Amino acid sequence: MKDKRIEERIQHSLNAELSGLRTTSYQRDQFFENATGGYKVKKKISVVAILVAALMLFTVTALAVVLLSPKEIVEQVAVPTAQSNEQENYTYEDLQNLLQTLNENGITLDEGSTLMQAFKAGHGYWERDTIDEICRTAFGRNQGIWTLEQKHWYGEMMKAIGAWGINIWLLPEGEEISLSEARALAVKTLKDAYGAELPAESNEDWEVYETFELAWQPETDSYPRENAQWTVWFSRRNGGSLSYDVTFDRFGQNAVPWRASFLEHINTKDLGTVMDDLEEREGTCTQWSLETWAEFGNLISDMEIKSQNGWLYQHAGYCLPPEGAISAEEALEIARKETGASGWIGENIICCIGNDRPIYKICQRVFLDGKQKGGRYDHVWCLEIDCMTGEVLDVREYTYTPDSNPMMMYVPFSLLSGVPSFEKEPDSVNSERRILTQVEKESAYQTEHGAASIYFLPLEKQAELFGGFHTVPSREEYDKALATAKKAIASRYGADALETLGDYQTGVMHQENSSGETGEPQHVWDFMFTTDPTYLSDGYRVQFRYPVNEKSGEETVLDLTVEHANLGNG
Amino acid sequence: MERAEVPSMIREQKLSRWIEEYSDSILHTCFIYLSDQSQAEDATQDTWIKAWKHMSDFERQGIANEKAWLLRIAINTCKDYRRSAWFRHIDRKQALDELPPHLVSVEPKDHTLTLMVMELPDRYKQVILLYYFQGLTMLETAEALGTSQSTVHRRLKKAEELLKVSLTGGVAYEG
Repeated sequence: MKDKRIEERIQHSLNAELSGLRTTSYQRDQFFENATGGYKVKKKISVVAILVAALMLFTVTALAVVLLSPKEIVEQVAVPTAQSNEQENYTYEDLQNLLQTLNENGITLDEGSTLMQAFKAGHGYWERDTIDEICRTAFGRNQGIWTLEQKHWYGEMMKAIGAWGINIWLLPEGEEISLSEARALAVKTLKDAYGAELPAESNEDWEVYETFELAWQPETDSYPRENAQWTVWFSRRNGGSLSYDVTFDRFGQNAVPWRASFLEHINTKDLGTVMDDLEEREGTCTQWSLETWAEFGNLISDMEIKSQNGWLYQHAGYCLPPEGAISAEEALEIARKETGASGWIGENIICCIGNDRPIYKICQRVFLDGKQKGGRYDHVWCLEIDCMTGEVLDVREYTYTPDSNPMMMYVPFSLLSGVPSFEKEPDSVNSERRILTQVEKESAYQTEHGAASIYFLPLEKQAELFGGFHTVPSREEYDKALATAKKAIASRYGADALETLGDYQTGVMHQENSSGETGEPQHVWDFMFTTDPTYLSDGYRVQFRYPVNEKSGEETVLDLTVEHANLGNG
Repeated sequence: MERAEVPSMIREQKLSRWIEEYSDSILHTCFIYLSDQSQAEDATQDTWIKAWKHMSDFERQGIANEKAWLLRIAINTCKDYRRSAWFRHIDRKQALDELPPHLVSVEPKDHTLTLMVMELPDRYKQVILLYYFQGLTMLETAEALGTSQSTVHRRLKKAEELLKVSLTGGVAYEG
């Protein structure tokens, strides 16, 4: 389900940031003409409280010989000052007093911080962000790794100044599991799920941290304690890309393990995804090394290609320069001399096969406006140089137009003229729509949004219509999955949830594909329990998958989500 | 079922309405994706050209969510722009600084979050833009990206993790 806090924060930030970026009516007219061919609640505080705050300020100043901790300064100076005004920001004088108190107690804020820059320029600063800066200076820049106590205390301070309505960062109470229990449970869950051997506390290889926080409940639009959730992270140090996390409820139930690493989907992806993965790892393709291009070539060599660009990439013969070849640097120098391009130039070099011989494919992208930052390449030289002799085989100059084909920068010229035509592969929207159109014709169930509810088609029919990963599971597999789904609903909504629902029907979609973690086969299930298969206006939806554990060989339930059936339904 | 051909005047009215209603959303999405105002404007124009060109597909397939369809075209257009490598080495902060003046006040921390979103790897930026910024549902996001809901779910989780420091820092909300 959608995290309302994140949504609000992102929408608020991006909308504010982009508020000045708007199309004009003239631009919109142009779009049309060209397209159609002819296109923050401050808490009120009593006068007494203000006097108390002022007294505390006086006391702090008077007793400055006793060093205060950052927490004490926040509690005794920053928060009372914030509470004593009706603004959301400290005045320059407020900030001056606060910084002086910090300095007198041996605490120095980062001179390069936005706060300090604002202060040096004679401005005040946001109260919330000032307290945040003090806390990050004291506890660490990464708020995620703060202790539960630090997080909880921080939340209380935010509440005190009116920045937060509630404190979502909790400390476990009563029957709720403790920090040590949470960590132990996380370690066990990840061992069971992935065979991972992880420490319960941070060590030289792994950083372990956690939150225990309130989660939003969409039904009531509130953050009830019953929804409190633990998340324990394990992040590999020293630049490793591997990370794990586990979430579970306040009693340690409903654990959901997760593992993330680069190239996690390498076994099951298409060309676009392979490029995305490599770009994520190596930067944009103009920054790739010869080795990365060669790796790319290998990764796509046996791939089923469905587009002209895909065909070009697959047939370019990306490789490493053969023995005896001139170096890439030498080739680049030859290219520079050949074109005489000067000023700001972006270069990239690829080794591939052109007309049956290894060549360097070099592109020089010239910044016409003469500056790199913010500059654009309007002008490109593409050269092909014999890897062995250094002979310049071909030089072409391109000027940018909206129809420019970028492939001339990435494949040998000799390939460009011989590209076979490909029938346009229906994308998923189209393919799903095609399927639904077929379902409509067969008078299957319709939703109020005009889309058919395919959950209630027989699995055989789904397999026939969808094909691909949609397969018909054995009865044993189905029964096992059904039991898991019902158990999940009982756990989330109560043992009698389904019974209370009444005369419900069970719909399901099933896929059998490869696990992103292990590459081993997995069953992916999406169950719908509702009395209203037409509009899905009631009931529950349960999704999960069963990958095969790479060590134990056993199946483990992963990515389990349970929600009301009508969520996200149009 | 056979559908009657849609007269071009009705299509023009529809395109005109879409341009009025969605141009800013598309422009914002393209800017976050491309980090360049000029390129974002070009991509917005190209999106409308493609939308017009494929209007018959939209009608024939009976696509329910026009915004998701248009954003899909916009994202794919931006991907093409990125891949084309006609522009690289963009300084994102400078790109933000060069935007027209804000119409609403921007808190310093928000500037940081916007940069963080812009610097996300594409696959995570896409889901954040569509699901959280543009408010699409999980299904609509999956459709717009041509992928499965489970993939969108996983990418969102990772994206949220990457943004977590900013998102959980100093969040102002009413409980």
